Amino acid sequence: MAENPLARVTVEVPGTAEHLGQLHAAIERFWGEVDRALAHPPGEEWRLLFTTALGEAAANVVRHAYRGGEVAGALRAELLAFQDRIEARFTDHGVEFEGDLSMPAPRAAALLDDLPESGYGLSLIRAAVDELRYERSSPSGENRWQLLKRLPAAATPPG
Amino acid sequence: MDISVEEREGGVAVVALSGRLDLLSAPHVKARLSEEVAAGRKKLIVDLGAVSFIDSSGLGALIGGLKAARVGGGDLRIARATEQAQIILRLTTLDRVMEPYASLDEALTGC
Repeated sequence: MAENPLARVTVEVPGTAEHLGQLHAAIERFWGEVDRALAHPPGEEWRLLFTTALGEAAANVVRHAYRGGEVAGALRAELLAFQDRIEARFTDHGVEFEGDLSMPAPRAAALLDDLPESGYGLSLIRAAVDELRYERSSPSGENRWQLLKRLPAAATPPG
Repeated sequence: MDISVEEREGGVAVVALSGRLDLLSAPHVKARLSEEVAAGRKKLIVDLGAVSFIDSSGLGALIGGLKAARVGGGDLRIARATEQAQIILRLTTLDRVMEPYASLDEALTGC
Protein backbone atom coordinates (compact mmCIF):
# COMPACT_ATOMS: atom_id res chain seq x y z
CA MET A 1 0.00 0.00 0.00
CA ALA A 2 1.98 2.98 -1.32
CA GLU A 3 -0.49 5.67 -0.43
CA ASN A 4 -0.35 7.14 3.08
CA PRO A 5 -3.60 8.15 4.72
CA LEU A 6 -4.05 11.75 5.82
CA ALA A 7 -5.82 10.58 8.97
CA ARG A 8 -6.10 7.21 10.64
CA VAL A 9 -7.84 5.88 13.73
CA THR A 10 -7.61 2.24 14.70
CA VAL A 11 -9.56 0.54 17.46
CA GLU A 12 -9.98 -3.04 18.57
CA VAL A 13 -12.94 -4.01 20.72
CA PRO A 14 -14.51 -7.30 21.80
CA GLY A 15 -17.04 -8.28 19.16
CA THR A 16 -20.10 -7.91 21.38
CA ALA A 17 -23.04 -5.51 21.31
CA GLU A 18 -21.93 -4.04 24.64
CA HIS A 19 -18.74 -2.75 23.06
CA LEU A 20 -20.26 -1.01 20.05
CA GLY A 21 -20.17 2.20 22.09
CA GLN A 22 -16.38 2.13 22.05
CA LEU A 23 -16.44 1.86 18.29
CA HIS A 24 -18.74 4.88 18.05
CA ALA A 25 -16.38 6.86 20.26
CA ALA A 26 -13.52 5.97 17.90
CA ILE A 27 -15.62 7.05 14.93
CA GLU A 28 -16.17 10.46 16.53
CA ARG A 29 -12.43 10.77 17.17
CA PHE A 30 -11.85 9.93 13.54
CA TRP A 31 -14.13 12.73 12.32
CA GLY A 32 -12.12 15.08 14.53
CA GLU A 33 -8.93 13.90 12.83
CA VAL A 34 -10.56 14.32 9.42
CA ASP A 35 -11.42 17.94 10.30
CA ARG A 36 -7.77 18.58 11.12
CA ALA A 37 -6.29 16.70 8.17
CA LEU A 38 -8.48 17.53 5.16
CA ALA A 39 -8.58 20.89 3.43
CA HIS A 40 -12.28 20.32 2.64
CA PRO A 41 -13.76 17.93 5.19
CA PRO A 42 -17.08 16.36 4.18
CA GLY A 43 -20.30 17.82 5.56
CA GLU A 44 -22.61 16.45 8.22
CA GLU A 45 -24.94 14.43 6.01
CA TRP A 46 -21.98 12.74 4.24
CA ARG A 47 -20.48 11.78 7.61
CA LEU A 48 -23.77 10.49 8.97
CA LEU A 49 -24.17 8.26 5.91
CA PHE A 50 -20.71 6.81 6.48
CA THR A 51 -21.22 6.47 10.24
CA THR A 52 -24.54 4.72 9.64
CA ALA A 53 -22.79 2.25 7.33
CA LEU A 54 -20.04 1.67 9.91
CA GLY A 55 -22.53 1.02 12.68
CA GLU A 56 -24.36 -1.44 10.46
CA ALA A 57 -21.16 -3.26 9.45
CA ALA A 58 -20.10 -3.56 13.08
CA ALA A 59 -23.52 -4.84 14.11
CA ASN A 60 -23.26 -7.46 11.36
CA VAL A 61 -19.96 -8.69 12.80
CA VAL A 62 -21.49 -8.99 16.26
CA ARG A 63 -24.72 -10.52 15.05
CA HIS A 64 -23.40 -12.92 12.41
CA ALA A 65 -19.64 -13.47 12.62
CA TYR A 66 -19.73 -13.83 16.39
CA ARG A 67 -23.25 -15.24 16.41
CA GLY A 68 -24.51 -12.65 18.90
CA GLY A 69 -21.98 -13.72 21.51
CA GLU A 70 -21.86 -17.49 20.95
CA VAL A 71 -18.42 -17.06 19.40
CA ALA A 72 -15.84 -14.90 21.16
CA GLY A 73 -13.44 -12.63 19.36
CA ALA A 74 -12.37 -9.11 18.60
CA LEU A 75 -13.48 -6.59 16.01
CA ARG A 76 -10.67 -4.43 14.65
CA ALA A 77 -11.72 -1.27 12.87
CA GLU A 78 -9.30 0.88 10.88
CA LEU A 79 -10.67 4.21 9.68
CA LEU A 80 -8.64 5.98 6.99
CA ALA A 81 -8.96 9.31 5.25
CA PHE A 82 -7.30 9.92 1.89
CA GLN A 83 -7.53 12.98 -0.31
CA ASP A 84 -10.30 11.56 -2.44
CA ARG A 85 -12.03 9.04 -0.17
CA ILE A 86 -12.67 7.66 3.29
CA GLU A 87 -12.22 3.96 3.94
CA ALA A 88 -13.04 1.62 6.76
CA ARG A 89 -11.46 -1.79 7.14
CA PHE A 90 -13.07 -4.19 9.60
CA THR A 91 -11.38 -7.42 10.58
CA ASP A 92 -12.82 -10.19 12.71
CA HIS A 93 -12.15 -13.85 13.40
CA GLY A 94 -15.70 -15.06 13.46
CA VAL A 95 -17.58 -17.39 11.16
CA GLU A 96 -17.30 -16.88 7.44
CA PHE A 97 -19.89 -14.72 5.74
CA GLU A 98 -21.78 -16.89 3.33
CA GLY A 99 -24.51 -14.55 2.23
CA ASP A 100 -24.86 -12.53 -0.90
CA LEU A 101 -23.22 -9.10 -0.87
CA SER A 102 -25.74 -7.90 -3.40
CA MET A 103 -28.70 -9.12 -1.35
CA PRO A 104 -31.52 -6.66 -1.98
CA ALA A 105 -33.39 -4.80 0.71
CA PRO A 106 -36.53 -6.42 2.05
CA ARG A 107 -39.45 -5.54 -0.18
CA ALA A 108 -41.58 -2.68 1.03
CA ALA A 109 -44.62 -4.69 1.91
CA ALA A 110 -48.13 -3.67 1.01
CA LEU A 111 -49.33 -5.09 4.30
CA LEU A 112 -47.64 -4.02 7.51
CA ASP A 113 -47.89 -7.60 8.74
CA ASP A 114 -45.46 -8.66 6.04
CA LEU A 115 -42.93 -5.90 6.67
CA PRO A 116 -39.71 -7.48 7.87
CA GLU A 117 -38.06 -6.29 11.05
CA SER A 118 -34.60 -7.43 9.96
CA GLY A 119 -32.47 -8.01 6.89
CA TYR A 120 -31.83 -4.40 5.99
CA GLY A 121 -28.14 -4.37 6.90
CA LEU A 122 -26.20 -4.99 3.68
CA SER A 123 -28.50 -2.99 1.42
CA LEU A 124 -28.30 -0.15 3.90
CA ILE A 125 -24.50 -0.16 3.73
CA ARG A 126 -24.56 -0.28 -0.07
CA ALA A 127 -26.96 2.67 -0.20
CA ALA A 128 -24.74 4.73 2.10
CA VAL A 129 -21.26 4.10 0.66
CA ASP A 130 -19.75 3.64 -2.80
CA GLU A 131 -17.98 0.32 -2.39
CA LEU A 132 -18.43 -2.65 -0.08
CA ARG A 133 -16.01 -5.56 -0.28
CA TYR A 134 -15.63 -8.76 1.66
CA GLU A 135 -12.88 -11.35 1.67
CA ARG A 136 -12.17 -14.37 3.79
CA SER A 137 -8.54 -15.10 4.60
CA SER A 138 -8.59 -18.84 5.05
CA PRO A 139 -5.22 -19.53 6.66
CA SER A 140 -5.83 -16.99 9.41
CA GLY A 141 -9.60 -17.45 9.55
CA GLU A 142 -10.15 -13.71 9.16
CA ASN A 143 -13.11 -11.87 7.74
CA ARG A 144 -12.17 -8.59 6.09
CA TRP A 145 -14.75 -5.97 5.23
CA GLN A 146 -13.89 -2.81 3.38
CA LEU A 147 -16.19 0.18 3.05
CA LEU A 148 -15.24 3.06 0.79
CA LYS A 149 -16.96 6.37 0.18
CA ARG A 150 -15.59 8.90 -2.29
CA LEU A 151 -15.33 12.44 -1.02
CA PRO A 152 -17.26 15.19 -2.81
CA ALA A 153 -15.40 16.69 -5.78
CA ALA A 154 -14.59 19.92 -3.95
CA ALA A 155 -12.36 17.95 -1.58
CA THR A 156 -10.02 16.88 -4.36
CA PRO A 157 -7.39 19.50 -5.21
CA PRO A 158 -7.04 20.31 -8.92
CA GLY A 159 -4.24 18.64 -10.88
CA MET B 1 -30.45 3.44 26.31
CA ASP B 2 -32.85 5.14 28.66
CA ILE B 3 -36.57 4.73 28.15
CA SER B 4 -39.03 7.03 29.85
CA VAL B 5 -42.76 6.85 29.32
CA GLU B 6 -45.23 9.65 29.90
CA GLU B 7 -48.83 8.54 29.86
CA ARG B 8 -51.36 11.03 28.60
CA GLU B 9 -55.11 11.15 28.17
CA GLY B 10 -56.89 9.07 25.64
CA GLY B 11 -54.58 6.07 25.79
CA VAL B 12 -51.60 8.02 24.50
CA ALA B 13 -48.08 7.27 25.70
CA VAL B 14 -45.06 9.37 24.81
CA VAL B 15 -42.03 7.08 24.88
CA ALA B 16 -38.84 9.11 25.06
CA LEU B 17 -35.62 7.32 24.17
CA SER B 18 -32.13 8.52 25.00
CA GLY B 19 -28.84 7.07 23.77
CA ARG B 20 -28.16 4.60 20.96
CA LEU B 21 -31.07 2.61 19.54
CA ASP B 22 -29.06 -0.30 18.22
CA LEU B 23 -28.38 -4.01 18.39
CA LEU B 24 -27.94 -3.85 22.16
CA SER B 25 -30.95 -1.78 23.13
CA ALA B 26 -33.43 -2.73 20.38
CA PRO B 27 -34.89 -5.79 22.17
CA HIS B 28 -35.57 -3.75 25.32
CA VAL B 29 -37.24 -0.97 23.37
CA LYS B 30 -39.38 -3.39 21.40
CA ALA B 31 -40.40 -5.16 24.63
CA ARG B 32 -41.30 -1.87 26.31
CA LEU B 33 -43.40 -0.73 23.36
CA SER B 34 -45.26 -4.05 23.42
CA GLU B 35 -45.83 -3.69 27.18
CA GLU B 36 -47.36 -0.27 26.69
CA VAL B 37 -49.73 -1.63 24.07
CA ALA B 38 -50.64 -4.56 26.31
CA ALA B 39 -51.36 -2.10 29.13
CA GLY B 40 -53.91 -0.36 26.92
CA ARG B 41 -51.84 2.50 25.54
CA LYS B 42 -52.91 2.30 21.93
CA LYS B 43 -51.32 5.49 20.63
CA LEU B 44 -47.58 5.47 21.04
CA ILE B 45 -45.45 8.48 20.21
CA VAL B 46 -41.78 7.60 20.19
CA ASP B 47 -39.65 10.67 20.83
CA LEU B 48 -36.31 10.18 19.08
CA GLY B 49 -34.93 13.63 19.88
CA ALA B 50 -32.23 12.30 22.22
CA VAL B 51 -31.31 9.21 20.22
CA SER B 52 -27.68 9.64 19.16
CA PHE B 53 -27.64 6.77 16.67
CA ILE B 54 -30.06 4.25 15.14
CA ASP B 55 -29.10 1.09 13.28
CA SER B 56 -31.31 -1.40 11.45
CA SER B 57 -31.97 -3.31 14.70
CA GLY B 58 -33.33 -0.10 16.14
CA LEU B 59 -35.56 0.35 13.11
CA GLY B 60 -36.74 -3.22 13.57
CA ALA B 61 -37.77 -2.42 17.16
CA LEU B 62 -39.80 0.55 15.94
CA ILE B 63 -41.44 -1.57 13.22
CA GLY B 64 -42.19 -4.23 15.82
CA GLY B 65 -43.76 -1.62 18.04
CA LEU B 66 -45.81 -0.29 15.14
CA LYS B 67 -47.13 -3.77 14.37
CA ALA B 68 -48.03 -4.38 18.01
CA ALA B 69 -49.82 -1.04 18.20
CA ARG B 70 -51.79 -1.70 15.01
CA VAL B 71 -52.79 -5.20 16.11
CA GLY B 72 -54.08 -3.57 19.27
CA GLY B 73 -56.19 -1.21 17.19
CA GLY B 74 -53.85 1.74 17.70
CA ASP B 75 -50.85 3.35 16.06
CA LEU B 76 -47.23 4.35 16.60
CA ARG B 77 -45.66 7.56 15.39
CA ILE B 78 -42.11 8.76 15.60
CA ALA B 79 -41.26 12.34 16.49
CA ARG B 80 -38.15 14.55 16.45
CA ALA B 81 -36.04 12.15 14.43
CA THR B 82 -32.45 13.39 14.26
CA GLU B 83 -30.69 13.87 10.94
CA GLN B 84 -29.09 10.44 11.27
CA ALA B 85 -32.46 8.82 12.01
CA GLN B 86 -33.99 10.52 8.99
CA ILE B 87 -31.12 9.28 6.84
CA ILE B 88 -31.55 5.66 7.88
CA LEU B 89 -35.32 5.87 7.45
CA ARG B 90 -34.83 7.27 3.97
CA LEU B 91 -32.17 4.72 2.96
CA THR B 92 -34.44 1.84 3.94
CA THR B 93 -37.56 3.59 2.57
CA LEU B 94 -39.14 2.96 5.96
CA ASP B 95 -39.95 6.67 6.09
CA ARG B 96 -42.95 5.70 3.94
CA VAL B 97 -44.17 3.39 6.70
CA MET B 98 -43.23 5.59 9.64
CA GLU B 99 -43.40 9.23 8.71
CA PRO B 100 -41.08 11.21 10.99
CA TYR B 101 -43.01 14.03 12.66
CA ALA B 102 -40.92 17.13 13.32
CA SER B 103 -42.33 17.81 16.79
CA LEU B 104 -44.23 16.06 19.56
CA ASP B 105 -47.18 18.38 19.00
CA GLU B 106 -47.43 17.42 15.35
CA ALA B 107 -47.17 13.74 16.23
CA LEU B 108 -49.89 14.12 18.85
CA THR B 109 -52.28 15.87 16.46
CA GLY B 110 -55.12 13.62 15.51
CA CYS B 111 -54.21 11.03 18.12
